[in-house]
Amino acid sequence: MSSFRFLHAADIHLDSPLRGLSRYEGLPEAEIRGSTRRALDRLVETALTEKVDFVVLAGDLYDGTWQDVGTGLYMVRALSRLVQAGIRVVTLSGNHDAQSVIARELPLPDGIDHFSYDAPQTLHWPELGVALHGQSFRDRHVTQDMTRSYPAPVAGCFNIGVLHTSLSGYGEHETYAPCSVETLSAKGYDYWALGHVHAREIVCEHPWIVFPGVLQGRHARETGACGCELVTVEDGIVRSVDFVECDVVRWCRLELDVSDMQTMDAVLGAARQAMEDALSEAGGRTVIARIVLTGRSILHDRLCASQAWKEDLRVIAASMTPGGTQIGLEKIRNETSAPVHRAGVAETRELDLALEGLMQDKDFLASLPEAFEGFFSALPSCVERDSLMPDGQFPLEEARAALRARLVGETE
Amino acid sequence: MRFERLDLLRYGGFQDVTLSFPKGKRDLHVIYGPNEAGKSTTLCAIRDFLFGFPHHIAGDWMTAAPLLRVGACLEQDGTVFEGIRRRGRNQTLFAADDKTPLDDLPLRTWLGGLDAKGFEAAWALDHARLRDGGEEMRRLKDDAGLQILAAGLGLEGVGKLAATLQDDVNSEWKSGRARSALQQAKLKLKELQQTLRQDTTTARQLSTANRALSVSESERLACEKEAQALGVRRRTNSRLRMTSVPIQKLMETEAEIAAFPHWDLTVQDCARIEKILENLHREEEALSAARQKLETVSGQVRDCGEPHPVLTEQDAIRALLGRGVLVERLEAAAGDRQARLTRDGIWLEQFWARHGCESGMLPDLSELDDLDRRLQERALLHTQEQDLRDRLRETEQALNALHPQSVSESDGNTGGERLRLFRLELDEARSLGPLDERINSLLEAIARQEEVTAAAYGALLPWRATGADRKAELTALALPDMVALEEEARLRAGLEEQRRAARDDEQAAETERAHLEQQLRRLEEGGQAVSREQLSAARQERDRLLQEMERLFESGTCPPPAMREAFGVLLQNADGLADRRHDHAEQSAQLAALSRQVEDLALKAGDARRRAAYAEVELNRRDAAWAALLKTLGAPVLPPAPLQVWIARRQAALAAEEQLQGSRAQLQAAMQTRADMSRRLQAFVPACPSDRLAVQIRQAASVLERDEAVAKQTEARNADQRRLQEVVAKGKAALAGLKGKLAQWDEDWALACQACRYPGRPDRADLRDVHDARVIQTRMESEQTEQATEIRDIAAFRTELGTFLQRHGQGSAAELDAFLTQALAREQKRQTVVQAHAALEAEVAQKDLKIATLVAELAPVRSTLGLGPDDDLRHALSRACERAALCDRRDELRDQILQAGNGRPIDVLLEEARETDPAQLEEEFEAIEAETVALNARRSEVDERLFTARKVLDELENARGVHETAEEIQETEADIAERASRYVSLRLQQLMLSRLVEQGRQQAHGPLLSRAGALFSRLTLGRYVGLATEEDGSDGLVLAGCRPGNTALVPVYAMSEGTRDQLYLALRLASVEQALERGIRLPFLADDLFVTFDEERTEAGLKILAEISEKTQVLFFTHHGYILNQSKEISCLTKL
Repeated sequence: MSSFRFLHAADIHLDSPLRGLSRYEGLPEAEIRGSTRRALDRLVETALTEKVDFVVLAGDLYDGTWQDVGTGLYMVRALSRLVQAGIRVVTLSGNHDAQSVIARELPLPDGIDHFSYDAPQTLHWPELGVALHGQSFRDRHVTQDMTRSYPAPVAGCFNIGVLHTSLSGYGEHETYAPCSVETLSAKGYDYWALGHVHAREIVCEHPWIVFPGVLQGRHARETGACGCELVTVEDGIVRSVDFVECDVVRWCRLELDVSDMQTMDAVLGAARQAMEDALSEAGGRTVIARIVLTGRSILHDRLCASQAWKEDLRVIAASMTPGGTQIGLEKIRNETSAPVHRAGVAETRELDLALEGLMQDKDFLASLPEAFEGFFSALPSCVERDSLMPDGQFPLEEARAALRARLVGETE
Repeated sequence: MRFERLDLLRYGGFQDVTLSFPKGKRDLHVIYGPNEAGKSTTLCAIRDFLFGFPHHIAGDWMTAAPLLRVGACLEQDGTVFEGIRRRGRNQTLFAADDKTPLDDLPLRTWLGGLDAKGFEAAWALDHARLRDGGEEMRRLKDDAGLQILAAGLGLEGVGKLAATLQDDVNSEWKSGRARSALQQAKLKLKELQQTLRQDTTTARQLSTANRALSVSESERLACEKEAQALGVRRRTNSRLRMTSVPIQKLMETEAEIAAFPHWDLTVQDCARIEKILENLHREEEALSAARQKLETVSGQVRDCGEPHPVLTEQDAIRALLGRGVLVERLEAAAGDRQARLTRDGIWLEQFWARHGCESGMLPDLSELDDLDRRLQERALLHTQEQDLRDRLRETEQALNALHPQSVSESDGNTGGERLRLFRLELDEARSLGPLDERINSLLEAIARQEEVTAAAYGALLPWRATGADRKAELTALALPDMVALEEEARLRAGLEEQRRAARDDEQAAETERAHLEQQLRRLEEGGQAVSREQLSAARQERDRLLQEMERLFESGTCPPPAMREAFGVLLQNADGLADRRHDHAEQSAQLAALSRQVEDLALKAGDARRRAAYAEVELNRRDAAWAALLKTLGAPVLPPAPLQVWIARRQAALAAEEQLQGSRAQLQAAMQTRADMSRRLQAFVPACPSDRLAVQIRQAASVLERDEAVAKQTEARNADQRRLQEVVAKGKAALAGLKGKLAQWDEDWALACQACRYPGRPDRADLRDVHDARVIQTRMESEQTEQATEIRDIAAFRTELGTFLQRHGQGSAAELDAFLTQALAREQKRQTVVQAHAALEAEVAQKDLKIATLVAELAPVRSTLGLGPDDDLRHALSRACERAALCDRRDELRDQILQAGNGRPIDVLLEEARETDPAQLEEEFEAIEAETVALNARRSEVDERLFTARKVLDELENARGVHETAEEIQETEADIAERASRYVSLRLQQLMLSRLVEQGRQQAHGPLLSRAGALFSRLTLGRYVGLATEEDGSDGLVLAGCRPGNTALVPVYAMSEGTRDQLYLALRLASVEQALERGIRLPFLADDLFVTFDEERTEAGLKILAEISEKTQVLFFTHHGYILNQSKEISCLTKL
């Protein structure tokens, strides 16, 4: 059996915009806005530099709703560089591609193999000793296990199964082409190149079942390093599966427990330290962070009432440019709660009783939907009601704490 | 909760001052004192005891911050809490012994979780806040709800907050407001979405563009093919038109060539032969002319003859004539030389006569130079001798001028040694440095260290030293092992933490349970909910009566009507409950759930109590064991943590003691050193009145400086005398030496004169005279020798000249010179003619050779043309040249045809020309031109379409900004989401505040306003009978005071400043009374509230406070004597 190397990537979602970032103070706008393109470029550069034999893209090259053909042309040009360098490219349509008008109507150039929509297809390259098996999604929703009809492994070859699947269900990802590790293992392939799940994971090593994750994180839930897998096969055996970072903008979630902090300066200092750590871990990339404050804190009311500390954090973030890298803040969330005993914080019993009474005031609570009716109807559809009213409830506790802090003059 | 006692142990200006507040029927205590007595300090002390010292305090101006202490004894419902508060971050509350740490949980519980700020807002009031509150009420003139809310809750800036919230909410979003941030963001979002739609390149657009490009490219291809065909036709037509004429001319030329014989000569050959013929003719003519010139020159050579014999001696003759010129010049100078010799001879005779000697040889010039040098030496010696004499005289005068008295050498040595010792002592004194300052600083340091040490030992209380050596006692003290101590502290901290956590849990559970029970009660009072227990109880009651009735029936007795009626009631009650439970199942379920939760919380609280009790018991047990251990060791009986602190203090005390002892030793050593030094300095200076070493050093330095100046002057004078004496002695010795040198010179001079035969005296004039004589003598000898040589040379010349004149028959040297010149001119002319003859002979020979060559070259041409030696070569050559020109013309035509034929063979072209009608070629050419024009037009049109299609496709492929627009949309959406979230929070806060205000308004009609109105009436002595609200016409209420007799209402903003203060006080006191009614009893602290009140209103205010003091403690601080007098009968007085 021969030896070769290949790249396994998935979920490129080219030109999918970064979500949730409302301000770019001091950040490299062009880099952020073209981050998925830059990530694709890095994938191509990696393939060329490492001189791999082929590249497997396991679905979701585009966002399903994205219609601009310019995106497809960019993809075609990028993949054509690989073809011109003699590197084979194999693609597969995932659930987004099935919906994508670009994927349907923009033909791929010669030299790029695309798995069939109708039935599982085998690409046999005897000179490399490789057989790839896969099937593209014709429709967005595939509810059956597609691997049942995948062909038997080709004897004497290194068999790679390419599949866009949620496996047996993965968190927030919708269920597509469900299957299990057992069924995949039973197929007898040597490597399963999966896509769809955006978090990198090596599910199994015997055989190798690998989700490379999204190529470039695009929102606050896609944190950490993103990229592709460089797989080295020697004599028909996987010698190494190395993760190659391709992302140019790195998302992270900085959760700070402020329970023991007594002053706002301490909170700002801790946040600064966390941001510095995140920057140092990002390897020179631009970092976009979501800061979440947690814990029972005597600062809870002040955090709820004032926006100034958020601005302070943004100023701190804007001032941090070690080695030319920068950090931006996507959101700053206050998920703290009031301490059981409010020792050391201002409190008025009468006021608290009055505010507590409001929280139980049925008339008051009943009047709220009407008070917000006009506002909600004026909101554009992009604003999810759940984000404003978690679990369908108005954020009364936060408002109560903020009002209380303002009333007792603790907002400074 | 009330204060039994306040202990100002070490606080502000207080030291061990106790204020007692005994409980009576009325718990009103007036604490009075003049300004600066410490009323504000006492208020701060109360606050600091209850809530701990703040980080930055002003009370440590007299006592160091760590030593601040304020204690108190509190009482609530018979329970007493006594403690002392220290300053610090952790564990600041201690028991009355100021050692045992206390948990402040009971205190916090009594305070109901209030902090300092909350307590001050609700339970304390001073004049400044009263004034600010009144002013706030005036500002909130249109909103009674806000006024009451602000006053009732003791809040400030409510009105401003309401306005700020309104502005913030409206700036984010307001219905119909286009400039709100959210609306602006929505507009931006809409524009961006529109831009995205416009800029998006769809697949359909791309395929359309691709199709257009494909069609255009096909059309372009067709045009190209047509153009290619047209090009072929054009090239054929062009070729035929270009070859037809040359082909016709070619045929004619070939016919003309055929008329000539076949001579194989080209035009170039003919031209070459023609040139040879012309050269031959030209050479023959030149040969004839050269031969004629040769004959003429040969005759001239013969006429010139042979060269003259004088020419063979011409060099010798020329040299002799040259010497003749020199001889003539020598003969002319011989007279002058003879005159000079005569004059020099006379001068020498006179020289010898001057010196009285016979003539003879004089010294050489070098010898005379040596004598001159000797004379210079003698002059130098004389000059030195004179100079030395002068200096010697001056020195002797200076020596005589010096005073003969001077300090004897022995006296100087003795004084120098004393000074040296004096200086050494002084240097050593100085090297001691600022000894006085060091002693002073050591004294101060010792004083400080004594204080520190005393404080350090004081901090070791309750341990006290029993003997004089407290350090030894403290060092010898036995202490528990540190590991055991830390372990004990850790265990106790763990237990205390358990106890605190358990109490926290208990309190949280109790609070929660109270809250739930309140909900439960509300639910039950609502009467709609029916619990399972209620229903079960009603059914059991019903069933019990039914069973009794059944028993009666079974016994044959009819139940009495009252029983039946009661059964009916019970039945109806149970059914009614069941129906209500069914109808209000949700409330019932909530009721049941609340009951369960209450039970759970009771269990949880019980569990927490048990855990707290266990921790308490365990703590007590450990306390006892620990105390026993410490007593056994003899160590102070302190809990582990304080003992750790005590041990640290012990170390600090020992260190302070060590440091103190070290400082004392240093001081003793320094004082001893100073005394020694003073004693040593007194040997050199008179006794100094000061014992300060610095003063003594300054005095000694002054004395030393004066002595050293005197010694230095004496030393300088002695040195000058010694130096001058040495100079005189040296001068005399040098003078004697010079005299010896002059005598020696005289001897040397005599010997030198004798050796060189010098005839003169030893002076420079004689020496110069002898020098001149010697020069003349030398010159005369030389000129005499030259004169003899010249005479011999002139005689030899004349002999040789005579020989040549005789040989050539000439009379003089000038004639001989002219004869030789003529002979040379003739010889030159003859040589010219001979050379011309030789050149002409060579030219003739060369031309003969060239003519023979040309004739040989023409021989093959003749053969080629078939001519004999005598035939006319020129005519034949002309014919051959004509034929060759025709051949060249033929070849040109062939080349022209082949070139037009574009590579085709000549035969094919000739054949093609034969088959073509030349007359049709032009018509066909015009047709092709017309077709070409049409095709070009069509091709331009297609090119334009192709360019457009390519441009469109390129624009589609390279369109920029779409994904950037998508990013901007995401940013705007995120911005909108953020703003929406902010709006929701702000709007909720606004609604809550509005609701609170609304509640305040409702309270305005309720008990608070009623009670506040009554208090206000009393405070204003009936000028107002109460408070009321009225609509202000804009959906708001105005708070106003009611005048007696139902006259007009007086709004707050129209009241005087003092009345506003009274109104605010009335509202605050009404709020306090409401809290008291809810069971919250905390001391009310009033600090000079009645500053703006007149005496009557002050009395009224005091009475109200006295009434309140029947329910809770009131501590009233004042410095006004009239208030004191007014309050004597209704309060306890405490003087500061």
